[in-house]
Amino acid sequence: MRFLSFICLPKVSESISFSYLPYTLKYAVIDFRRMLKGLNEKELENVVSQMVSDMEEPQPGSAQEKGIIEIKGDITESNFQAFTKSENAEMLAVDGGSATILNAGSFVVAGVRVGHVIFHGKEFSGASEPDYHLLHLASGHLEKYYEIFFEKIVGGNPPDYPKGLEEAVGRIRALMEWNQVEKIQSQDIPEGAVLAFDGAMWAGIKGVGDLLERIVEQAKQKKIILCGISKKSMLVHNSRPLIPAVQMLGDDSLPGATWHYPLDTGNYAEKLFGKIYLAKLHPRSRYVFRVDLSLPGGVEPEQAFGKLAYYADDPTYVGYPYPLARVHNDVAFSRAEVSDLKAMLRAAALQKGMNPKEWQLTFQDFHEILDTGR
Amino acid sequence: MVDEKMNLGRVTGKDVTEIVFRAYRDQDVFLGEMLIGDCQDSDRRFILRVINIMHGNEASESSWAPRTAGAFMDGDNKDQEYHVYDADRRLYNHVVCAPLGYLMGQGNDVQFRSPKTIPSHFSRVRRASKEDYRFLERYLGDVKLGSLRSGEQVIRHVPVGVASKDLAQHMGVFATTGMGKSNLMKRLAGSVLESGTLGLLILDPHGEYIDGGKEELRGLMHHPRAASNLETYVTREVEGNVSSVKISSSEISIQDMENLWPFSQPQVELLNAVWGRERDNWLPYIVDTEGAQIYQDFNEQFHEGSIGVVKRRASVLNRSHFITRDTRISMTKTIIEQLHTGKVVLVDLAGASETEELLISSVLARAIFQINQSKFKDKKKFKEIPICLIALEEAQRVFNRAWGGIFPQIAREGRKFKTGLCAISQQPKLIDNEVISQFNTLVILGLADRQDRERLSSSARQDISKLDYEIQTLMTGEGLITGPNTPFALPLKVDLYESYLNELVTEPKENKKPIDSGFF
Repeated sequence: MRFLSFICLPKVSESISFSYLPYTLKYAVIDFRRMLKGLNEKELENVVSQMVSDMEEPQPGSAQEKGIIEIKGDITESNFQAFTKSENAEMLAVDGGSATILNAGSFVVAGVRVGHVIFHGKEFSGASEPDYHLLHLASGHLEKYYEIFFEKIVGGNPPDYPKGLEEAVGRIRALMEWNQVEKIQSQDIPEGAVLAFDGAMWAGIKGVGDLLERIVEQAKQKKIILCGISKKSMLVHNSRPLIPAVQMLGDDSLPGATWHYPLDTGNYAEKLFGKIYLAKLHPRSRYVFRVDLSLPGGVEPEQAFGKLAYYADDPTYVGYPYPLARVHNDVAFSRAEVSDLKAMLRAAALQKGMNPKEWQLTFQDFHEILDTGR
Repeated sequence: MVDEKMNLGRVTGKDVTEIVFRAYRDQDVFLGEMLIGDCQDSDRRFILRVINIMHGNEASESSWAPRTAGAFMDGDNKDQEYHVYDADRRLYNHVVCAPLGYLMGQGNDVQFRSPKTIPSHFSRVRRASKEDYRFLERYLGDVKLGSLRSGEQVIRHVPVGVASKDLAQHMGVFATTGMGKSNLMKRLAGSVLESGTLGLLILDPHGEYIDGGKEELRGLMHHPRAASNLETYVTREVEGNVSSVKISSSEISIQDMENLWPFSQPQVELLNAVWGRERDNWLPYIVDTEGAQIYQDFNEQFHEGSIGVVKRRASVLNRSHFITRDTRISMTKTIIEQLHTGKVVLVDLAGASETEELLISSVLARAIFQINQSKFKDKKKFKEIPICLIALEEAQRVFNRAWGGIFPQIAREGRKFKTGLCAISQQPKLIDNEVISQFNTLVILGLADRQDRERLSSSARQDISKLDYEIQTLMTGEGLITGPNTPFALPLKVDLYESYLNELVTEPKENKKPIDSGFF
């Protein structure tokens, strides 16, 4: 019942005075009122009831979607391992960002870029020029486009193809991220440095297993700690989200501590290229992250987590290594940037002879009009 | 390549009345500092004065800063350390500036224009260089008071003062106690002692100008040019080459009496009647003649009560040691002659009562005004005399009204007759608006009272409304000068008189090297 009381929905008809509510609560209430308008309250109650009953009576095997990992065994207090923050560390962090610049329905123009940053101690010491592509993806030549990236980054032909435009952008971005990791590894990186990226060491794309294996092996040879940190986890335990359950137990059993929890993942050896942990990287963090680790010989998980914790003390991103936050922000596309790209593409297209009206009719989206009135 | 020490940031926006720029977090910027905004699209160099400084950050949510501070506070309580990574990138300062104008051209051809446009987007903002300050040379005034100030920094190679030619249009010096009024006046007198371009009469009720008033301070008598260019009159025992203050009762007018006490209409009429009959002997007549006789002399027109009041007050003046009935003994004529030869005349009134002080001040001021007025008729003679500046402390006592008394009259009419006032006050709010609007040059030191600042803001020749906070935060000796010849309110650091004297004595002027030479 804890979930229900947390949501705490007001009735539509209820009159609420907003002026003296705390900031966050005020916004929460305003949002709910807006969302509820026109929505059948009964239907909403049904959804909430279903969510609560799912939590209380889990049904094994009910969520076997792609990428979801079912964790084996029980969650026990004895598996939690406390660790201490390192005194110093060195970290390289990789992330990618993408945005749809234009969407004509039958094709999209998307921007994808991947970059990395380097931190020595607490200081930023450099960043790469991002690997940046503007993609024109149409249903008709999607496969061709994907093949180019796959061949260049992984090698050979892809065993399968993305099924839609969005998936194609996602896959290309993922391949570019792995490519960036591999490129960095070929550079001169000091032993014991952490090479972190956003996501899991999971071969979610068919045919990338060899690439991941190459990367993991190279990291071990160069004695680099390879680490994937997932902002959103698809780990489940008895079909329930795993992280909340582990976090609640961890907070109770090791209050005020940093800890990690190794997971038993069972039969995913073909797709999984590291060991999965859940970790709380700062004692005051409200977040526990999935951390996929591949460690070189002689490095204990506690040492790796100590180095991650060293960077997890920024007050804005408490519990998340700052270099990953920095690179995420560096490569993300802002609304202004998307808008600029759109204008740039339009100017270039018109210069090449495209009729302005045709441009307008091709890319107009009434959502933009609707949004102006929000 | 941009000089990192000079480079402060980039313009983010605003309008012709205010320019905001983003400054590097680790660059110190101070209120009142003068900076240069180099327009990216033209050769205009905007002169910007810092009027506010605020924290800024790159977070998209406005609640980021308080939340982050909360995290730090939580960490303090739980003994957990936090570290803001990339602080120089994520944190910065918003600096709000008042555009003072812009410069066009280079070197001797540089022109100053008032701020009728804005610098282009993202123009670079930097600290001003020696070359940037060069244009000020033509505005800095020949009566030096100190050096240009930019925020907390003193720009020693740019002297700042007031223009002697503007001083017939009067000057006001305003500051809260302890902010450096007396030092400023000594420094001003020092410049006049050096140059002789003005006749300066200083009426000193506190006796602090002659020798500094304290052991560690120096006075005008210590100035190297004092022997030749300073004349001192005293109302107390003072060692040195000084003369005693003496004025003749014949020099005292009915108007002076009105300045000292309030009189009813019948009492004023009685005084005027006595003046009409006795002229220069009016005061001895009232003092020496019995009340009943006066009653009779004026055909019983005036009430005995009125006669009694007038007699009693006249007796107060008669008892003064500084007033003599001998019409041949008076310092007034000599003082005016000395002023006309460009001397500094110090009248030390510390030994006089407040009534005597005001009386002597009024008599001297009126005499100067009338003599200059009479010389005006002879263009040749008038051209020969310098502007006479009368410095008056606690000026609010005589300027609380625009009419009545010699001082308001000089404020209104003096400029035509080379008679200027230097009104010194710590309470400008008590000075009549019309009077204060006559002061064309204002030297404003620290003023804590909002009403005082507002009074000056409404009267200054340049817009100083945006400088309110700067005026509040001025330290001792820091000030602003506005005048008919200044391009904007010039920030000033007044020379410490004692330091000025040391420099004057120890270093020949032509060999003087700026203290901060090589700074830029």
